[in-house]
Amino acid sequence: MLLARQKNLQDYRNYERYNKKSEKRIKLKKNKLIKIFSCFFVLFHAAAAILLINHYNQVTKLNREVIHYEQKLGEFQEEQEHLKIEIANLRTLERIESIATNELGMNYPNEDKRPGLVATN
Amino acid sequence: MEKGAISTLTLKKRLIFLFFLFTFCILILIGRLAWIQLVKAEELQDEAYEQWNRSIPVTALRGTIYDRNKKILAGSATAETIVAIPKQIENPEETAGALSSVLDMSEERLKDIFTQDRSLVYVKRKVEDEASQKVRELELSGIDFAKESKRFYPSGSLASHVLGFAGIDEGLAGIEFYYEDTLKGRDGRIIYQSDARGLQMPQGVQQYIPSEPGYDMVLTLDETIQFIVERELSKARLEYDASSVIAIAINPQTGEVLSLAKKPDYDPNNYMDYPAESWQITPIFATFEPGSTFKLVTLAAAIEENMYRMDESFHCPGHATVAGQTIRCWTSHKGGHGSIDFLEVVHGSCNPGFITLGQRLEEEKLFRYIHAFGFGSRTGIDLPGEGLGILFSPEQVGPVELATTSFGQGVSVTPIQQIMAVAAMANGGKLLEPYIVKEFLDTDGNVVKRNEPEVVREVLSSDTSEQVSWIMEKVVSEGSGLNAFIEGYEIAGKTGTAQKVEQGVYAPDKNIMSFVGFAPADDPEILLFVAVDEPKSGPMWASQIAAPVFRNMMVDILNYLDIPRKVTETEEARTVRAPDLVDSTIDDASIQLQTKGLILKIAGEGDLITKQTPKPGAVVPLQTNILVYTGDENIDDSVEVFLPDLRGKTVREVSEILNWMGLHLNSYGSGVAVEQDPPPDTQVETGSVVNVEFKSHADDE
Repeated sequence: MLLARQKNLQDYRNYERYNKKSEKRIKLKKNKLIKIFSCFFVLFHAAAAILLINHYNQVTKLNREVIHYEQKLGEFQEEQEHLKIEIANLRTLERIESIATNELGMNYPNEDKRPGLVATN
Repeated sequence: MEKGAISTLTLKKRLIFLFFLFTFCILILIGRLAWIQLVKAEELQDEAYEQWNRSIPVTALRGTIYDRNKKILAGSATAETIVAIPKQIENPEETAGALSSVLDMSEERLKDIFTQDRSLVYVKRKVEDEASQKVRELELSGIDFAKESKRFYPSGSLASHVLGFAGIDEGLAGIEFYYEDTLKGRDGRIIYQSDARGLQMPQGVQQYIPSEPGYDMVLTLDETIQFIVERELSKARLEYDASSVIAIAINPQTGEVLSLAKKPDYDPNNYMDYPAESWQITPIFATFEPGSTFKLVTLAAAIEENMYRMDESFHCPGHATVAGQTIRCWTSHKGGHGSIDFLEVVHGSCNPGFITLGQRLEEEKLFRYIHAFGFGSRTGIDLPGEGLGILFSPEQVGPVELATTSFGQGVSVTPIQQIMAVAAMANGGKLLEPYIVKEFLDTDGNVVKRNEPEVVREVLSSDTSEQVSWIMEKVVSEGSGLNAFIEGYEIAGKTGTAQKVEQGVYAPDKNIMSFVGFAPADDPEILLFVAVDEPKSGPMWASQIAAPVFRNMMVDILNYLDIPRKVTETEEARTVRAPDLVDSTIDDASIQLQTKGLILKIAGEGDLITKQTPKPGAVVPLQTNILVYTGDENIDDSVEVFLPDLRGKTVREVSEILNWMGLHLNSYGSGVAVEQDPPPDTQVETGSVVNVEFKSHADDE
């Protein structure tokens, strides 16, 4: 009887120990989950931050490119204006006249015409 | 209680004191924060923005100025401006030394610029490409470049008085000044973020605020007509050694100015190289006594008031006596025009005849018409600095003033007033407002605004206008304007010779010769005014000086405008017999040729004519040049002769003159003589060779 009681007590103690161990294991599992979740959380935020910064970088880069192309467009427009002036310079009537008379040897009509004597007394 | 221990009460008191002290401090801080955030926020934000942002200006391109056929007369292109960021310059002395020779600036001046307490300063604006490239190659820290608009005038001096010029930031003369607000546009900027040292931050935000170009302008001016007019003015100035020559061409139906020119002129690309007086727009600014061209006003008024009958007879004794004063006719030396009719009064530009018309009109009516034609008030042309002219005030007008005004003496008008008054006579009687800008265009070429012809008032009936035009046409085809006659066209016109007034008295040798005329007379498309101011050589008559210049311009303009010739029944050229001018003075010869349609060309320094060609009695075409020699010596017997001034004469004339003198011509180029070697007044042996350079477009400068 006493032996039986002792065994029961032993079983009870074993059961208690086992129960404690199981509780510990559950606790450990819970902690692990929290840690994993926290890691994921941190990683997610880090990734989001990186993505956001990258996106911001991309926007800045594109913005700079836009400005660069706008400046380039401006430069081409300036070049165009220069060329327009150059064309106008080359088309001036004075230059055309100078080439015609000095280089091509042309004259204005009747410039050297002698007076046409009709009759003399 | 132990000795020296602090009682609870004291502790409490100290705690309360500390609490209030902290609370007070925090309240002060909150107050300060509120002050900064709520009151000073905007100001501080602006200051911070200025501190971390740098901006480089991008000047707006000025609008382009085109002629009526969209040819560029003034355009803008960018030029580089050297700027400095003083904070970035490590060694101002070294930088100044390096830039001094490239930018042609003193080292001291540059050092002053580099040590200024400003974020950005101009070093030199709108430098040449070559200079900016050299600066770029130096790679100096703190030296940067900005783009600015620079004005270019591709045609150089062409239409310089109309266009004016733009300085560094704004238009300073002509159209550039008058339409500054329309042409200038709005400046832009490139903004970038910089660090405390003013260096651009690599990833800093950049902002580009584009500039807005000004509106383009299309003028009523025609580049080709302007060129023709200026070419002939240059030749005339050279030939007659005039102090200045001016011309205006308009469309008399609309008031559009097709050409407006004065010689000498200036190159607006380098306007600083010319005296400020040369920038004045003389054709609208200067006033002059019109002389006989003003007789048209008296004529038109008399016709409109039914006080003129062209077949009515009139006797011109060569003078008229008004209030005891004798006023002479230009024919007084030969006893006047004699018995003529009132049509001949106009043909012969008879002063006593016009005095009679003025007396018939009386002061009130004559001056009413003078004012109605726009004299004494500005025409409203869109150019700066228009003159008013001078007229007698009603209390000043007596019988003499009325008489002199009726033939154009004692009044002072501007060329633009004169031409607009004649336009009213030509277009059916409407006085128009002249204008020079036709359209304003945006950057896409859309018309933003268009100027339309504006009638100021109706001055004459269309019948009167027709009659005046018809009489003016007769002046050219048969009268004193014969040297402006063009075969196949009906040209209407009137000459004007006037003495200039200096310090209240008429200067004896200072004249102004003018001619105003239009074509075709029945439906005018072009009206041209020419004035030769103070010619020093040649006959002093408008019919001999201004009319041929007018004709030379008109021939080319009519050709250019493709105005068809009227085919006459007889295609033979009109001829005239050359009079004997030998032993006459230049003045007598000029008067003899006044209504003959021959042009007197003079070689030599004297006053008495010793030789002429063509010979007296020769039948020659109308407007033939009668070349006369006025040298004192008998060139036939001379071994040595004095060379005359050949400048302004054609190849044929020079060849003829040198042939007379027994000299040989070696010519270069074509057009009119601009240079001769040996120079005028040099004594040369007969048989020598004279080198003469000819140019078609005689440059003034």
